[in-house]
Amino acid sequence: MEFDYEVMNCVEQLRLERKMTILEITEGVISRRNYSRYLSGEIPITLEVLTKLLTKLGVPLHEFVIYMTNKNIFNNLDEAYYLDLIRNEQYEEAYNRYYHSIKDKKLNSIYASRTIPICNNLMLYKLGRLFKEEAKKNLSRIIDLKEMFRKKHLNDDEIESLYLYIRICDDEDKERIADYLLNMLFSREYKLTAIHYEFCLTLTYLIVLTIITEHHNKEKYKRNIIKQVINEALDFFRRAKFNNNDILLFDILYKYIKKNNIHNNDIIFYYISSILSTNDTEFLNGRKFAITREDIHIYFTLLKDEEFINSNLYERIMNNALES
Amino acid sequence: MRLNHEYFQALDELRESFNVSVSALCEGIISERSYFRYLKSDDNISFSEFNKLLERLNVTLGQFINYTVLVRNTDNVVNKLISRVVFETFTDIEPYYQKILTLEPEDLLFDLVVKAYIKRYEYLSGKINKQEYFHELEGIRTSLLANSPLNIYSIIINVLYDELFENTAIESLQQIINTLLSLDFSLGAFYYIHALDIILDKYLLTNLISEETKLKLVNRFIQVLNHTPIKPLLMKKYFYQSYLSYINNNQVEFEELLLLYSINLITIYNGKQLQKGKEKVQKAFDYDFDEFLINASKKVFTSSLFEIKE
Repeated sequence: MEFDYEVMNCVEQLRLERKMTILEITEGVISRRNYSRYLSGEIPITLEVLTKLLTKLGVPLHEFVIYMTNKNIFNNLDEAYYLDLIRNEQYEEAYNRYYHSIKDKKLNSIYASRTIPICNNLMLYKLGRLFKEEAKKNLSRIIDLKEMFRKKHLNDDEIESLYLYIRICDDEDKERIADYLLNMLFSREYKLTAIHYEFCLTLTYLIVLTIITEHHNKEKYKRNIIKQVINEALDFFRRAKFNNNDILLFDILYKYIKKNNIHNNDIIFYYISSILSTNDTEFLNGRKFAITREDIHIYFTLLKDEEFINSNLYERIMNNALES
Repeated sequence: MRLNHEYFQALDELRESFNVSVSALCEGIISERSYFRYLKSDDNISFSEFNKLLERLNVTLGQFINYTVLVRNTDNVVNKLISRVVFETFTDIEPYYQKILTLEPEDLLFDLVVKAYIKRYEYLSGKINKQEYFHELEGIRTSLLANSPLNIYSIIINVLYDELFENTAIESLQQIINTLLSLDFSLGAFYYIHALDIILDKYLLTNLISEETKLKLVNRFIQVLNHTPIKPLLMKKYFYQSYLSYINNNQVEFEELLLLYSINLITIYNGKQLQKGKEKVQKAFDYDFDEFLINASKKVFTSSLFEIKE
């Protein structure tokens, strides 16, 4: 009943906000008496009735669900902020600011099942408060790859947890994750069932690229596969336009071109620009970006190049990412 | 009611892909017989029972709706079109525009918002002229129920309309602003942000609204965007934050924020949009954009953010 109550509470808030009378919203749909019974949670609301009430309010069902989701996020901001810090490798901050309140509370956000418990273990390990083997053992209980990869859909909690898990797991698990997520990216059979769909897709690209560009065996992932993922990622990032993740993507590309002696000024320019484009202290805190004097020279040369600045930067890089 | 049927089919697709049997899914929630009845007929399941089935699959209602709207129906044209119109990035918009023209609108206030954005795209892309766009918005505005209280959907329609008046405002502007500032932005957050931005873009450097109102709008804009990671929106936030620092005579903070705005502008936009953004800086702060960008960048390389190697 708690769920019905929550749903009807949102409907009632919208009704009041729109200054509609109960008669106006119920007319032709349900009796006024039943509206009160739905509101008190006495009887469960059906999808049909809900949709009709929302029609009276002029709100489509999917917009209403986003509204309810936003409410859930704002009611559990501590979990979201804690995850942000861990995702950004700000373990000390996360521990000092949120861990003591989070560790004993009943988790309510969409990250409650896997991601937040993984945050706890990963953070304690990174801060030297938990041995690596113990942390890995705990994580393998929280994240069962075999179970997770039996299905062909992943949700927010699963993608976020994988993004953190690759920081500690062994190569074998990394390969399994990359293989599965490559399917997710390139096969229509695999789908993301995520509230933050675009953000989760962003993380998926970052996970795959991290694994395949850093793999110790260069033969494991061929250059044409890496190139294909980079192009798809650039095309997607160009449209999604997420802050900070741009830095993470170009950090991978920058390191890759440097390691493989590929001369690509566009990537250098965009890498530096992406770092300069954020003041998110919870992302930048303590981070240091290693670049060369030559890179800075390239940045200023291109900044003064009117033709370059007036072109579509992402499109320039796409298809030429691994070319000199 | 086809909605129920469609949702139940999507639920069943998820069940199959999760390798969960019907009996395991239904146990303690509904009978297997009811499950198949809901799957095949238009009978209505209660919302809470439906949600329990989703919970058993470890899928929240939000994830489910996103799956049915965004993924399963790969043509979620409405959101895709509107976000492109808001950010004015039209490179891949045309297929969505063509598709949306074939959709049958329902009788929802929301559909008027969609129509307004379609017309905005037609105007910005030169398919219709300003006068035609104006008449279209006028018609949409007339369709809004007279005397009904303002909500985010009617507000964005009015704000799009008001945007077209040069050097003057529609009569109800102050009422619109007051309502906007008092609304819960969880519903229609995207339209909420766009409405604030259009108002600020038009009035920030004019005397048509009070300084107090401008500050309230700027602060609200910054507050709402505290939770968004989307670059074009953050870019706007940096601009308004730099404006606040500027009027508070905080030169260091002002230049830091203006650099953030400028770098985002050159990496996100090109052509007309880039030019418009540059002119905005010139007009608001009397700064030469290109010169500022080079000088402000030089300072950052001496900061602790970078480790410079030879």
